[in-house]
Amino acid sequence: MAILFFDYSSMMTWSGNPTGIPRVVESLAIAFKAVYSEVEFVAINDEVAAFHYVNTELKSFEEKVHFNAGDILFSCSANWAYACYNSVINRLVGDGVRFSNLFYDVIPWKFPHFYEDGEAFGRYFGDWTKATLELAEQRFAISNAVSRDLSLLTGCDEDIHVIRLGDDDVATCSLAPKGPAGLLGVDNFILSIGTIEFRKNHQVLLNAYRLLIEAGIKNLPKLIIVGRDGWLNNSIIFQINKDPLLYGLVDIVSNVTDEELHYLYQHCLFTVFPSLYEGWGLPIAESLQYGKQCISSNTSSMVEIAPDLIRFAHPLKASEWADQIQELISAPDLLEAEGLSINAQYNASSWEECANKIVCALIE
Amino acid sequence: MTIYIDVTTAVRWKGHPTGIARVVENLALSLAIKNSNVQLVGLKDNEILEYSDELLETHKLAFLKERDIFLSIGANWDIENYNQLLKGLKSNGVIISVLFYDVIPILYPYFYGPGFSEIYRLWLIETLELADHGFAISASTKADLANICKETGVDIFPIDVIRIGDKLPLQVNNEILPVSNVVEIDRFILAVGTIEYRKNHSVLLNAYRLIMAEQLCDKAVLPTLVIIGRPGWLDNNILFQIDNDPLLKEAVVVVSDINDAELDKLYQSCMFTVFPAIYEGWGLPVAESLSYGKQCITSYSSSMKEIAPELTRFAHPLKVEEWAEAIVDLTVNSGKLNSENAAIRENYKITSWDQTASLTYEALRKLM
Repeated sequence: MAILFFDYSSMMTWSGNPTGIPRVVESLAIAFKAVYSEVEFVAINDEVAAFHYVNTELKSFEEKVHFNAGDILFSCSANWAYACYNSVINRLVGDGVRFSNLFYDVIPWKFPHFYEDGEAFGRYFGDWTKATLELAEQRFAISNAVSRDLSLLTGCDEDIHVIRLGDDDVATCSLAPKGPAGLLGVDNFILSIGTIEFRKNHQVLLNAYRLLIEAGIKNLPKLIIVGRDGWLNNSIIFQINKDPLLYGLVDIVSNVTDEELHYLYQHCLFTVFPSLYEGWGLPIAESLQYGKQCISSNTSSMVEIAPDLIRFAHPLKASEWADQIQELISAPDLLEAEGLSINAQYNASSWEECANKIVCALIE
Repeated sequence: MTIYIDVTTAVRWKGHPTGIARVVENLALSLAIKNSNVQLVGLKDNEILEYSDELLETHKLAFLKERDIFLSIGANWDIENYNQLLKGLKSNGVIISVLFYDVIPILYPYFYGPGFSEIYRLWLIETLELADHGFAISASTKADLANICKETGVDIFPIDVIRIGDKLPLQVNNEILPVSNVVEIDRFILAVGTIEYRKNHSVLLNAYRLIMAEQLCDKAVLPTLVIIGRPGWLDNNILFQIDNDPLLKEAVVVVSDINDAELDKLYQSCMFTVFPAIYEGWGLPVAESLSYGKQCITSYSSSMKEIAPELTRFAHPLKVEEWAEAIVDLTVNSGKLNSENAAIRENYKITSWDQTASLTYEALRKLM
């Protein structure tokens, strides 16, 4: 009987509450266990270039895995980070192991300037993606946009299963909301979540606020940006601190706890997510889970999340962001109505459904 | 009575004068050559020395008397104890006239490195208190000065707006081919200015991205964007973006060190120019473009609206779609571009430094 192995690699070195890819690995691991209890958890051990069984509680490596022909290995980890990964997979595939992979995006290949290592990393990432596509029997992508980009990368019409990541673990947390220091009592604010880096495009928000001020709009709500400093952000923090128009109106909060994030989502007017390009766009789904309207960019995967519910603006056009923000702050009734229809119509995607879809495709 | 013009900024400048040093040199020399009661002076070791009309130090101390005029046109915030000197002169009855370029460090502190805005503010407010008369290089700067005076409670003094002289096309022998390989590009548009936050090259890169992403014009006809400028403060890593963005790599070229002959050649052979600065005291590259008979798309902001509002095209510095539209319009409608360039050649009146000097002298004569 063939065994289904789940690659837990990206969670092995993670401590604390997982975000990004480790979060998907963790959530899918739990959901796989629920829908297919025979699943075995393994991870790549880069030092000995082999997969080992792992204890997911302790995040410890146990004995080496001996795969048999026909065994299935599914991975949704950040495998480009492991030097040995694709050569190990190559050997396993040669031995008859059926490898499948989940692809998050090919952004470094498409937009090398979003990353500190630029073109060199972009090329590396493109090559890794192509090699992995060739090795994988089943290829999964987290959005139609990623699926299209994979075909663009190889120049062929690739056969890809598009799956929707779960978001039913968001906003259901039992944590007591706790206001970050200095922001308690502030309840008239717009929230923007994401690393302060070129790709997340906070610049367009600063410029939208500058346009609104220039247009004479009074009583603008605060813009609260939650995120750590990242690559090529044109000194957003310096700009805010030194721009007499923005100082005191735009705040940056780094290192928030989950309780604080919970508070900020609950108390914000609505959220803004002006990313230039995404593979998915979790902060949009998260915002909707809290019943909060989101203005998001109208590019890539962001148009797939809830196109009938959210508002869109072009990531390069500050005036569209200014217009959308103004419309929502000048019409509280409209904002409330949009929040209500989000509450009524946005259905969280379940991780188990996601896992079930993948498992069905794998053992078909 | 004598008019003393302070040329310290020009004599301390190393290399080819640009920006304020260029204004000081041109205006001071035009004034000194035409008027016998004008004496060039410079600061050295807290003393005022006379300078010859070739900007050479004469080792002769200047003795300013009551009712003489001291005209200051330099980058005085960079000169130690400058306002102390003005105070001394003022207490001896010398009339202080100051040329103001802009108050941008106060309006936009983030356009400059940490600390500069504070230094500039201290200098400016003190100078505003000392000046008996002022010049501003644009109506926009004059209005900004009035606002600062109002905000800080300083009594405003009479301010005359003068238009600074245009840089004349070299008209050098074009057989002398510049070194830069840029001139081999057939169709290009030109952006001249330090690569820094204020000059806002980001909006140009984004306009090009928008044009290509939304296919606003055929990629084959989109002109190369040639950026001339050295890296400056907070430039959003423009060079890295261009080198690493596959869309821009083919479409944008940056040249950082260029001589006047090369720049002349580029102005002559470009299709048109773009100048998206967020805020200016004047906007020399706009005037320069017009003196070459080339259309310029410039920001609808500050002094840039004053240079030739009937002739130039405008776009909002923060509205990328306006830049994209204007660039595409001039690119795909060669008839429009040709007729706008022709109208500029016909109607743009070049301002000579002699004209600037005459206006300056007239205004100063009224103070005597």
